[in-house]
Order: sequence, then structure tokens, then C-alpha cells
Amino acid sequence: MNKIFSIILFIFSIIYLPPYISLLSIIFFLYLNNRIEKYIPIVGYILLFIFQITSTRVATNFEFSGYQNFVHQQQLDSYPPSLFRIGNVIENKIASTQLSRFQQNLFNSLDFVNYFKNYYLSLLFIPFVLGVIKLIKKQNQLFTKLLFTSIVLLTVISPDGKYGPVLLLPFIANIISFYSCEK
Amino acid sequence: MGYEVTLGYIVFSLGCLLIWNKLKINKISAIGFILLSTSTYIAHTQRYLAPVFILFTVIVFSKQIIIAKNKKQLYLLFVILFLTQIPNLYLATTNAFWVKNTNFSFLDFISQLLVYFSPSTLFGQSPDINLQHTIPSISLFYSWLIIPFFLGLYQLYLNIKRGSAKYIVLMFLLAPIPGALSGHFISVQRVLTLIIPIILIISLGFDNIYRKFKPIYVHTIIVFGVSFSLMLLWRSYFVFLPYQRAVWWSYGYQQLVKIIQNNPDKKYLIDNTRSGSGYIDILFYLKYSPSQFQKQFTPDFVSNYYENPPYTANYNFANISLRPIYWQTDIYENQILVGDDLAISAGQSQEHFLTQIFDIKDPTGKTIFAGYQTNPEKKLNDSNNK
Repeated sequence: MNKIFSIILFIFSIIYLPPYISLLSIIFFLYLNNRIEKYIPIVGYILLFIFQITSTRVATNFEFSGYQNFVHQQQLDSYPPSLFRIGNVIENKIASTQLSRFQQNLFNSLDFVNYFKNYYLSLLFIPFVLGVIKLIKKQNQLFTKLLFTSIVLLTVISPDGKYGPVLLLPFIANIISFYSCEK
Repeated sequence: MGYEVTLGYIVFSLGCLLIWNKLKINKISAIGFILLSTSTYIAHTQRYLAPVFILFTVIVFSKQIIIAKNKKQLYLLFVILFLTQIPNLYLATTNAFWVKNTNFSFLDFISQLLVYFSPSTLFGQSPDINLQHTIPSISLFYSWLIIPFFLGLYQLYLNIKRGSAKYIVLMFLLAPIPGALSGHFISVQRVLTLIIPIILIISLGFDNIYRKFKPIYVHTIIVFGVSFSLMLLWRSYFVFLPYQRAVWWSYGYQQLVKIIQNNPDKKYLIDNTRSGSGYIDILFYLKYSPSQFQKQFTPDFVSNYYENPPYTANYNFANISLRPIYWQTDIYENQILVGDDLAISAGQSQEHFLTQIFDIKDPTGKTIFAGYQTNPEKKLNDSNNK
């Protein structure tokens, strides 16, 4: 019964995903249910990574737009003359614009509101939360490692690619189906 | 951040603390329930949160609360709560009670709840569009606290059968309800009550870290984290805020009032198209008599106050008028037109023979108020010649 419910949840979770992401989601689903070998999801993940890289303008993540330059200058101007030197160190070294951008990328990647607004049915949020708990308990090493790799990669290259954070979508689809998985 | 919401939040939190006395129904928890009831009169958000919180607390902890031993106290408490809510029950029959409500949509409600729980909202960039609700370049909670937050959530899950964990989860899940009910705009001040449960969850996370790592590592991380956070706080609160957000905190009104006071014989028309509540700042700095000001309101308006009669923030007091500028007529009167850089353009100034007499800028150099003297004679001659 659990298995059937898990499959139904999984089908609902991939219903709005583009076909290639659905395919990788299915590969992970089969792997997590011990139906296929370990190397298949790894190969699939590498292909998805290439897809993410090629559909994201990575270079722009390391350049600053006119607006960002304006904000940076405004931040420097905020310091009174007596604190300008310390302000320069903080704004250019400690809390630099690049660091803020990485931080923003990380939080955009973790922003599940975005996922449940654009890629999954909102109601699947509850099985997602329960699935996260299951993931921690289940501790499938490969799945968890690849999930964290995706978050780190999206932090560096930005999740705002042409097709969105595709590196994370198959993981979320599987996490949604986790809760009703076997113990 | 100030106003009534902060006081409402403090009273509500105090109420929650007093109720959490092993959930025994005694004098202390009764004070807690009364504080929750009182908080509904302090801030609009508590009108929704307090009843929902009381209801769910009673449901979730029914085995501890609804027992034969508590029967008498519960009846008494119910009567007291009912009595304290009589004014609200009366007000609920008027339009004023529902003034902040927008059309309810279940999907909007769910979507907003998700936004308030999103790590991006809590630890990343705040989506609140009112810049008075946030501090520049800093998140609601320091970004690095997301790690103990997630660890704390896990710790809560592991201890979910304990009453204290259930109570924190209850506070955490219910706190964003007033914010989510408010409509389309994300407003951080409507979910202030999230602060306590989130701090408790983060503390649980730290507790977890303490138990798993050697104290020397944990202390190093905490010293580094606290130093980094203090630096960010100093930078955002003491450097960026006064410079970048001065205008959001009514910068410029004091200077404007000083100019007006120095010229009591002149008439000022202040454009209020983008600052409907600016009259409050002007009255404050003018030290204008409240009873004198209240004379502007018709007896009808006062008697129908709780029916939420139509209201415009256009006022006349002292030598000041506050309303939008009517270009067809106002340029033919001898007065000083005051507005921001969007209210009076260089083209309009030239076209209507206006002479700029003052320009009040914010610390970034942007005009907040510019004052232009009209020249009715020249304008009239020009209009007649056309």
C-alpha cells in the first residue's frame, strides 16, 4: 500500500516537470527502490549537470550589472569619511558583492516557495517536508551527496538558468515520494 | 520597527510564556490567557492569532487541560475570556473591525504561508516591500543561523512527543497566519510572533551542536559567528540605515517645518500624493494643538468612525494645505508649492514661472522636498497672451 502511495505521489511530483528532468527523477526513483545499478543515476546526474551549465550564463554570475555597481558604490558612500578605510575593507573583502551573490544563490536554491509555485503542486509541500525527515533518517549516501553537490554547484553558478534549478528538481520529486516509502 | 505591533507581540509572547507552566491551569496560566486576550486590542494581527492559538493549544493539550480537576478553573477562565472579548465582539459588527481584510483566497493563503516559512525569507533577502520594516543588506535572521535552525528542526522532530516540542511547533506553525491572511503583500511586522519559536528552534540546534562537537570547536564557531553578526549589524544599522533609509523614517519633515515656521506669513501647499501620512510628521514638529486639528472633522465623521467612512488625508492647518497639486488653479495663487522631485518637474517649473526657494535633500543627495514660489501675475499675463 505504501509503495502504491509512494508511486502516486511520485507521479504527481513529476507531472509538471520537463521530460528530461522527469526521466532523471525516474532513474533516481528506480535506484532508490533498488531497481537499477548505482552508476546509472551518476551518469544521469553528470548529463544533467552539463545541461544546467550550458543553460546558465555562468559568466554573468561573476560580473556586476550597472545596478549592482550603483548599490556597491552607495554602500561605500554610506560610511562617514572617518570610517572610509574600514568600510572599504568590509565592502570589498569581508562582505563583498560577490559573497552576497553566492549567498543569494544559496538561498534562491533553498527557496522551496519557488519550487512549489513553479514546478510542483503546492499541496505536495507537506509530503516534501515529511520526506526531508525521512531522507535524514534513511541516509541514502549517494542521493544525499548528490543533493548537497547540487546545492553547492547552484550556489556557485546560480540557479537562475534558462530552465531554472534543474539540478535540484529530480531530488525534490523523489523527496516528495519518500514519506510513504518503505521504512 | 515600532508601533503597536511590537507591543502586541510582547504581550502575546508574555502570554505564551505564562501559559507554558507545564500547562497547568492555575493563576499564572490564567494571566497568560488573559494577556493573549488583551493582545487582540493592541495589534490587528493578534485579533486572528490569539483566538487561533488558544483554540489549538486547548486541542493539542486537551489531555492536560480538559480534565475533571480543572473544571471549575476552566469555567471561570472561559467567563473571564468572554468578558474581555465583549468590546471586540461588539466591534466585529462594525466595518472598522474588518478594515484590513482583503478578499480571502485559500491558494493565496497557502502561497503566503510558504513564503513566511521559506529559508530565503527568514535567512536571505526579505521580500517585504515596505523598506521601513527592514534594515539594508541584512536578513531577518543572520544567514549562518540557518544551520542551527535546520538542526533544531530535526531535534524538534526527534522530540515531538514531548509537550515542550509540541508547544514550540504550535507557535511556529501558527505565527504566520495573520501575515498570510493579510493579502498579497509580504509584511514582516505581521509575523513578529515567529521570532520566539525560531529563536527557540535555533537554540535547540546549538544544543545539538554542543552535544556532538568538542566545546573548543563550538566556542570558536560561536565567537566567529557572533563577531561576524555584530559587524553586519553595526554596518547595516548604524552605517547603511541612516544613509540609505533616512527618507523612510521621515527625514526632511523637521527641516521643512523649520522653514514653514520661519515664514508664518506665507502659504504652503504640500503635495501628499505619495506620502498620505506625512501630515502626522508636520503636526508633530509644528507641535500643533490636537484639539485644534480635530476641529476639521465633521460631527458625522466622528459619529460614524467605526463604520469606516470614506477618508482622504487632505488637511488644512496653520499656514499649510496638504493635498495633491491642481495645476489648473494652484499656479494662479500666491503660495509655495512643496513636493518631491516627482511632484514638480523642471519642465513644470519653467512652464508655470515657478521659482525654487528651497531644496531639502536626503543623505544620498536625493531631493525629498523642493519648495517653489508661484508667480500668479506672470503666469496670468502669459496665459492671457496665448
